[in-house]
Order: sequence, then C-alpha cells, then structure tokens
Amino acid sequence: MWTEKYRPESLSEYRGASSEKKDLKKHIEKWEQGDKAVLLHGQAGTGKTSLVQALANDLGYELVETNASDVRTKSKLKSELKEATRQASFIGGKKLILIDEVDGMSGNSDRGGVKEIGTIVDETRFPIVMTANDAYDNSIRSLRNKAKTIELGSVHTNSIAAFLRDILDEEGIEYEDGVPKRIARQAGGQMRSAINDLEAIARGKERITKDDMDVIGQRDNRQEIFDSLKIIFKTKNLSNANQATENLDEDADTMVQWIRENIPREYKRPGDLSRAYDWVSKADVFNGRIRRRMNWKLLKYVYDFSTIGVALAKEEKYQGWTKYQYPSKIRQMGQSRASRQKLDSISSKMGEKLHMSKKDVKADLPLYANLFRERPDIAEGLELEDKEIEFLEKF
Amino acid sequence: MIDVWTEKHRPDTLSEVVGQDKITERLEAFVEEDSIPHMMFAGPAGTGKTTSAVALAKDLYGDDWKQNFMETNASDERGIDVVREKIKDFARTKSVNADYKIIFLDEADALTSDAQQALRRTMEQFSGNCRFILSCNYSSKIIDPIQSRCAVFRFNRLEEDDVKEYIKRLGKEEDFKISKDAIEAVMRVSEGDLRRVTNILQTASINNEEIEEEDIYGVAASLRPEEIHEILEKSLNGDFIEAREELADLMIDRGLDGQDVISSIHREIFELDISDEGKLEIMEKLGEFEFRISEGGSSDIQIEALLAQISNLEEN
Repeated sequence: MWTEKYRPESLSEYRGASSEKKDLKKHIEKWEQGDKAVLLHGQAGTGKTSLVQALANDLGYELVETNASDVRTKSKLKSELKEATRQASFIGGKKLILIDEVDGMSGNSDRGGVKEIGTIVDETRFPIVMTANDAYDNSIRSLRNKAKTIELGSVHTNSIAAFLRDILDEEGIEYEDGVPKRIARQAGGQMRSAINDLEAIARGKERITKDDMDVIGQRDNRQEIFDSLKIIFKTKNLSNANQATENLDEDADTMVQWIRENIPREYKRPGDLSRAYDWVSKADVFNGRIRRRMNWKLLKYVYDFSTIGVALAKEEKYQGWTKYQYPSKIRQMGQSRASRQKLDSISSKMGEKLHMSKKDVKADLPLYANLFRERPDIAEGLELEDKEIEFLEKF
Repeated sequence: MIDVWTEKHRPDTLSEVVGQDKITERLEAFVEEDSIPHMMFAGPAGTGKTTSAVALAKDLYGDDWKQNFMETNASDERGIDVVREKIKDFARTKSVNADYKIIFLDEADALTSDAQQALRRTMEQFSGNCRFILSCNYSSKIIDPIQSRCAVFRFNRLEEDDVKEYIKRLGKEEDFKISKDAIEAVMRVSEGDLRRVTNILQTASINNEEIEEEDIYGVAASLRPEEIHEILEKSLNGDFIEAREELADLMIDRGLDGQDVISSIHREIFELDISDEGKLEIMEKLGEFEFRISEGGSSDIQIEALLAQISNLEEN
C-alpha cells in the first residue's frame, strides 16, 4: 500500500505542520518522568501516527505502539503496555510510547481501559503520545487533562499535491497537468485519502489523465456549489433543500460563506433577506460551538440551518436566473492578507511599547496616525520603520 | 524615548497613580511588607489597572523590574498553549534579587473557560516563585477557582475632579492651554477613560496651542468611524449590499474589532432619523446578535445579519 510505502521516515520528510512538529519534538526531547503526555488530535488522515513514527525514527527511540485494533481492557493494558512503560528498551535506549486512537476505546470490551491508561500516563518512565480524532470527546476528558494537546489541522491542498507528484515521479508514472491537484483538492485536507485515491487511479499505469479520475467519482467543485446554491435559493421544499448539499465536497465554513454571499443577490424582499440571514446567523453560531468544543456532532445543524433555513425563508419563489458569485469575504481576506499582516505587526509592536493589546491599538489607530503625520519623531520613538509609518498614513 | 503621552506620563510609582487612592494604598502596603498575593484588577478601560501593575513592579523591584515582571495580553494570545508556555518559560527562570516574579495577564477575561482552567493549575504550580496579577473588565467572566485564589481589587471609573486635575497638570507639563468647555468635552467623549483623555489631548494639542471645544470633537470624530452611521443609514434605505461591503472594508481591511463595531453601532442608534420605537427594536436585535457572538458566532456574519434585520425594519 502506498500509504505505508510512502510514510515519512523522518520529520524532514513529513509535509506541513511545521510548528506542531517542532512543538512535539521539543516536548518529547525535554520529557522527564512526571511531565505531561501529549495528546495529538486532528481529523482522520491528517498524519498523526506518521508524525509520531517519524519522530521516533529521528530521535532513535524505540517505538512501542498500541492502537484500537488491539484489545485494550484494563488487564491487558496492565500486563502489556504497563510493563513496556516500566522497563528499559531491550537494546538499552529510550522508548516512545504511542497509544493510538484513545477516543476509539470501546465502552464495553475495553472497560476500564481509559482509567488504566490514565494510571500508565501518571507512572510511565518514558514519554507517551496519545492520538485522537476528537480531543474533546467526553470519554477521554481525564486523559486530556493529563496531556499537552497538539492539534494537527487539515493538510493544505498544495502540500498534498506536491507529495502526490513526488509519489508519481518515484513510481515512474506520467500525469496530465492538474491531476495531482484535483485529487488533492478532493481529499479535503486528508493526506491519507489522497494517497489512497492516487493509488486507486494510478497503480500499474504508465500515465494518468483527468479521465482516469472517473473511477473515484470526480466532479468539478465550482459547478457543484452552483448547483447546490440554485436548489437552496429556488426551492421552498424541505427535502429538496436538504438534498442540495448531499454530494457537495466543501467544508461547512466555505458553504456558509457561499450562501451568505448570495442571499441578497437572490432574495430581494427585505423580509426574506432578514429571515434568511437569521438562519445563516444561527448556522454560524453552531459553527462556532463546533470550533470551540470540537463537537462535530453539531455539524448537521450548520447544514440544516444554512440550507433548509435559508430555502424556507422566502415567502415566494423568485423567477429568473441569478448570477451567483464567489464569496467576497474569502476573496477580500486573500487580497488584504499582506496589509492585514502589516497592520497586525505594527499594532503588536506599538502594543508592546504602550502596554496595550493589538485590538486596542487598532481601535485608536486613527489618532496615532494623525499624531505621526505631524510628528514623525514620535513614531520613530516607538521604533516604527519608515515603511510602517508610510502605511499608517492612509488611516 | 517614547513620546506618546500615555507612556511619557505613566506614573513610575504607585503614589502617582491617579484617582485610585484606596487601592494604591493597599498595594503600597504589600510592597512595604514585600508580600504580594495573587491579585485581580477589575474595572473599565483607562482606570489604571495596567499602570498600577507596572508601578507596583517598579516600586517592588527597582531597577530589576523588567527582569522580574512579564506582561502578556490575553486578547492577543488566547491560545492557552501559548500562554501556558510563555508563562512557564518565564516562571522557570530565576528571579533577580527577589523571591518571586510577577506575571501580569492583561484582559484575562478574553481567555476561554478551558484556558482559565489550565491557568488555574499553572497558578498553583508556580505559586512558589510567581505571583499573578490578572486584569479584566468584568470579574464575573473569570471562573470562581481563579477568583478565589486572588485578592480582587475593583477599579472604579475615575471621579470627574481627578480627571480635571490631571488635565490641568498635563497642560502645565506639556505647555498647552485648554478652555473650560473643551475640558467638559474631553470628559464627555472619553467617558472617564484616562488613556483616551490623554490620547485625545495629545492629538488636539499638535495643531492648537489653545484647545477649544470643537478641537476635541474634531479629534474624537476620527475615532468614531463615520462609516458606521452610513452603514446603518444604507441598511435602513435597503441598500443592503452596499452596507455589507462597507462593513467588510471596516472589519477586514481596517482590522476593526467586532466588539468595537458593536459598541459604535450601539452609540449610533441614538443618532438615527427614525422613531424611538424603531431605535428600541434595533437595540433589541443588536443585543440578540451580540449574544450570539458570545455563543460562538463570528462577529462579521452576526453584524451582517443585524443589518439585514434593519433593512427589514422601515417597511413595517
């Protein structure tokens, strides 16, 4: 399997997550008995296990691994894992203990397991890394409290695509331009699915093309979202609206942005507009709850409110064709990234000197800009550079 | 040399802190006995919380204050891992010519409750060699276990006389004159926030040797984004898409905080040319959407939803 064959052997081979990598390495290297374990969490296929394996390789630690496929009852853990955390490695070196998928402990057959892992974490002589999809799953709350949590976000499409290209080169398979990128995009930030998809398409071939992607059900994303929008905005029927996003391969955040952008383009009656926005607002609140508590069970409401809610918000259907547009927020955030970063670094610099938060500096920036225009020496006193002062002029 | 007046005139010692005599007396007694508890400074902006913390450190440590005092702002670094690591790294190093160091966590009410839980343990862990001073606007936003570990000091809004006294002193030291009406105007637009008072006066004094009432209002206007009024007007007139674009410019390009936008909207409601019942209705809705933000909603979407509601208002 390519997912195994191309598992990174060292941290330098491991793509993305550079700060998390450093964080983890530092913690494990400095680890002493009594220090916290690590709880590495993130959605499936983001590379949690690979990261730990690469780290063990780099540090030359023996990796002791247990995962959901092992029976993890209290007694089993006691006899096997606990021993491993007590005795020195048989070759005399250090060990790294990986307890994979702790949120996958089965309630019945692994009874007492979580508690036992807690004891093991308390008493271990070697550093322990636990992994979980959902760090905030209630069943592992006790473990979370004993651990430094590190989250692996989804992998960027470009990083996935680059890795897919490397694999194809390594396998000597040629490819039509854009194919790796498309596979990557479709994988929704999961490296593992992307590699699996690639293998399904490319194994045994000399060259792959866009047509080959049919086996994994490729559709053009952009077209798909327009289809969904059309259904949501044109229907007044609950089950139609409900099905609008069934095949949509976009994350909930992006989908909400598309809907939000286009509500006023379709809904012209103020009552429809305000009701529809109210539903988007409620969907957004649930999005926030998910983000805060990592409670993905709430995701269905984000979809319900932003699709069904928005669809049923109109009194009557609108006739005619509407030109749906790309979310301006996403566009604007992209365009203004450089200037927002500059604004942020200026505020941070000033905040440090003036004992203020960035937020407060930004709020008072019109005053400071005024001040600096007349008295550039004051800006220099704050160690702002010429370019930064110039930037502030526009306020 | 920092020539921003808020820094230039920030007191170096507790006895010079404006208008919080009872509190600073207590703090001076702590310094005297060289025994500082964990503390919480609660109160509105610009009442001297940060100033008192810094002055306390200077009084306590003298020239070594910078090595023994760390300031971090929770609204800039909410992530508990950052806070925890930064705090721990600081706590681990030895204090210089002192038994303990002080960690000043400004705007601690910006921390999530999870982060506060973690902080609580950190406070215990390092209580041997560290004291924590937390500042916040509302102490109720700080979880009980933290509150109960702190001596809580309430910083009240400054008395008018204290602020006036301060303005006069500033005028002497910085060589500007200010009319009575102008002083009243400063009081009104700054709502007793001494940082605001200072910033407004410094800006107003650049072009005027004698500051008049209208100079103050001119400066204050630049702080109250004109755009907010326009955005509300446009929503009322049904130009929702334009209102939405202006809002995005303000929040994305100018980086204005959602909370500040909401406060400005709240102020501007009073200035709108609609019936009183209409104003009340907008306030009610604003309250609902601010609540939703506190429940996890993102401020840009929620404020936009408010605008959509407003655009539906007039036709009824």
